[in-house]
Amino acid sequence: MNFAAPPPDRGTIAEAEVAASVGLGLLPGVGPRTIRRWLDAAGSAEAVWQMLPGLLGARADRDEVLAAWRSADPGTVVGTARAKGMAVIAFADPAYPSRLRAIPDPPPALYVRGRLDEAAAVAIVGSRRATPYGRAAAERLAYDLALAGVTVVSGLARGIDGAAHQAALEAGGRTVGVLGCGVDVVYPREHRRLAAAVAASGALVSEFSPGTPPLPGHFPRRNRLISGLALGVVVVEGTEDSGALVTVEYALDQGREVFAVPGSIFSPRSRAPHALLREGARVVERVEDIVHELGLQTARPRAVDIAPGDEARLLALLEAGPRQVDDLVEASGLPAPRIAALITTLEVRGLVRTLPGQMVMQTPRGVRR
Amino acid sequence: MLASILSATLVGLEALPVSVEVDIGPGLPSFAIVGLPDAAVQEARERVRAAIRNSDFAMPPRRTVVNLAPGDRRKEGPAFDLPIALAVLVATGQLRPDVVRGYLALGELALDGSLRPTPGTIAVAQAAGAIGARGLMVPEPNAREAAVVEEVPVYGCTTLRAAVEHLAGSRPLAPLRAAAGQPPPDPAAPEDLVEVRGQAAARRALEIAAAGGLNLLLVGPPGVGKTMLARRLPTILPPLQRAEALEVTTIYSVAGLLPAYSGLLWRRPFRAPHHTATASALIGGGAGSRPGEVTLAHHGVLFLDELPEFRHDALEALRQPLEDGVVSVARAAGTVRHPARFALIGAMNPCPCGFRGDPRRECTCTPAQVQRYLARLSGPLLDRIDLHVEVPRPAAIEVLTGPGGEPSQAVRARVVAARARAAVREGRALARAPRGPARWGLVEPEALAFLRAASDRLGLGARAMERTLRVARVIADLDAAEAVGSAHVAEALQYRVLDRARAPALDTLC
Repeated sequence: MNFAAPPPDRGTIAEAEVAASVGLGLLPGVGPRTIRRWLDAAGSAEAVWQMLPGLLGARADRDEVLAAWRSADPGTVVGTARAKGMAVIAFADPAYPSRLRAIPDPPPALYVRGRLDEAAAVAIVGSRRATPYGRAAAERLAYDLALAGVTVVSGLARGIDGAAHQAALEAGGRTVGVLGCGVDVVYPREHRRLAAAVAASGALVSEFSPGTPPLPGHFPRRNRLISGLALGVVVVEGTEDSGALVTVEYALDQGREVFAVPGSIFSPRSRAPHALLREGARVVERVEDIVHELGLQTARPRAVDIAPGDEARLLALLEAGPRQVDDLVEASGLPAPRIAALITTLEVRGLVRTLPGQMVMQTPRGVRR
Repeated sequence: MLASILSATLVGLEALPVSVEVDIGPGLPSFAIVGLPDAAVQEARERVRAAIRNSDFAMPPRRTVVNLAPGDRRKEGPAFDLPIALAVLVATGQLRPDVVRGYLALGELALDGSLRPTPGTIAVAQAAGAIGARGLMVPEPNAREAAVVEEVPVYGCTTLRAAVEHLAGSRPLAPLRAAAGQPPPDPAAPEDLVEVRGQAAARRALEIAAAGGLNLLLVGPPGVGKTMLARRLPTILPPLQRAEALEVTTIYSVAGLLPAYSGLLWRRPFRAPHHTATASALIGGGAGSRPGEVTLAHHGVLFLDELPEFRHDALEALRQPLEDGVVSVARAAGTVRHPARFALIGAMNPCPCGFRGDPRRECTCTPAQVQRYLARLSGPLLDRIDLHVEVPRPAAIEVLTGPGGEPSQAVRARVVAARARAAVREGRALARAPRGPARWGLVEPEALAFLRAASDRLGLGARAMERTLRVARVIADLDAAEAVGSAHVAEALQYRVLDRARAPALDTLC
């Protein structure tokens, strides 16, 4: 795969420090919060690594951790990661994202495919099973954020995450995917191509070493990086037990702004954003609601180049959200064959998309502004 | 004494004349049938003996031998009861030999001497007409179907005695004349498209399928009306021609599915075999030359609901009839070819749980499960399905309460007109160049450019593009357009949904 990965950054910090940081990330049962405390106390990962028996004190799992410490070979892990085209960024590395460095539980080392930077970033998260409405909302916000030069951070999952990454890419913007597995393990599989495109435009990031499988326990942890890398988190859709709410808890813990996109009161997918709105999250209707709150600038979106006529009429009907073909036939008064032809024409121009259930939605590019 | 009379046995959908010879001679009383009779023919012995006695004729206790010639053909079914009985009566002097000469007779006898309906009578009537028979004696319930064949006088008999009395001239029957060779003025169909609300795309796809003789796949959650739509395809297909009606009637008669007292079947058949059907149930064969579902659907519609649930070998067996319009059934006695020119309508759920894209229920399938489900339709079968369209559950309740759609009659008028235009266009193209893409007619350069752009954007393969063009051609015919234009191609692309589901797009559809 041809990822536009920078040459692994060596020389800024000592290899021993990188290896020690990676090693700390491999210790079972030792959380990032503890490691952070030790790093502050000892000054470097290398020091922590060497003083580990003393730092562990009388912990119940002391023997296990020490066994892992003795058998760990962090240098090999670093070599493997680099051989696979990843950069390994230690906590002490100046390239370590400063926003992430400021959270209470930063990973001691990050594995990155692509390039991380300090540009303004906003996370868009939500249900893996998105409704057409949620998908359209995520796409529009991600597209407009990307046009405004804001990096879109998400988790590369199905549904809202995938829609957000993809729309950012379509806008020619930067997007960062945070994974709950090794950067070389792409999950879900059908996002392989999407993952490659994300790495080429921005970065794929994980705190898990290469080859780590996507275990269920990894995803809540991964969420703290999503909010940690961003200035704010936008929740598009989710049920009461949605993982998006985990991300929001981290965001609040990290002092990030929380935004929620209102939805239908009939949809169970609206429960999470509505609960957040009830608790004081910012309402998002358009990208300005996000960027102004964060003190950022909006960019003027390109206007859709579309002549008045039936195509424009159909697009206007889709302004209010995705609609079924029958609904469009009825609302437009145009014959069904004409509607079918118009949909294809607009699809080919990238202005609408069809979803299962004969649902037609505007792509962000098709929105008239 | 020796006697003989003509009858016929069925070979596939055709009847082969059979000479029924009876010899009654000295010896111990016995009754033997030779000439490759099957079990049902063998049992004629008992029925014939009882029927003769119970019709107040004499069944002498002599040595009776029945020979069915030609002797190398297997004889099937109970249709030989009546000719055997008549020949026995001639051989025993109860009927003059000259009165039966030139007659064909068939029919199953009941023990009391009455005649029961017998399958394949119309096929026998055609054979009788072909050999110039003097008359055809058939069970009365089958007389109307046989009378469709005008080349032979048909006499419907209720009993053996009635048949004998007619032949003897003591109580002659009037030959039954077919009422008319024309279809009834309005064969009022029980279904009509007017009853289908909404589903604009599926209705349109149905119209295109009817106009182009194309096959169609309906994809949608359970209970949205896929079966309802499919049942209405026959109502928008052009009315059957007489020759077609004759073929359909013959098939149903041979299959024993023609109702008693039925004349020609003027309505296009609609067959909906269950998804547990075996390959031989679909294509025919097995014991006897029973037509399979594909043949029963000849000139009509074969509807396969839950298409991916059908057995793989059963679906594979559909390839030949879909390609050639005939099906060859290999049997011990040789291969029988049955006609099988039908419109295929398949129906399936959009995913294993059935609720993908459903606005009211949540789909619980992973994208991988959906892909696996769609992959169950074999490529070769899918290649022969020209149109695939979604039949979604309506999100808005108004669709359910709104006005019905256009009636079938109006759609059928457009279908008939489009077919006529296509026939003229193809005739011209064939005269110019008998082969090659000329049969597509003209395609505007912009339409081709659009198709290329669309296939890039939507990720279509070469085959999908060709199929799209084929659908676009039919749309152009419906539109009375000489050349296929961009709008026709654009519309056609909406009826190829599976091309997209399979396209390795960047985004997933779930």
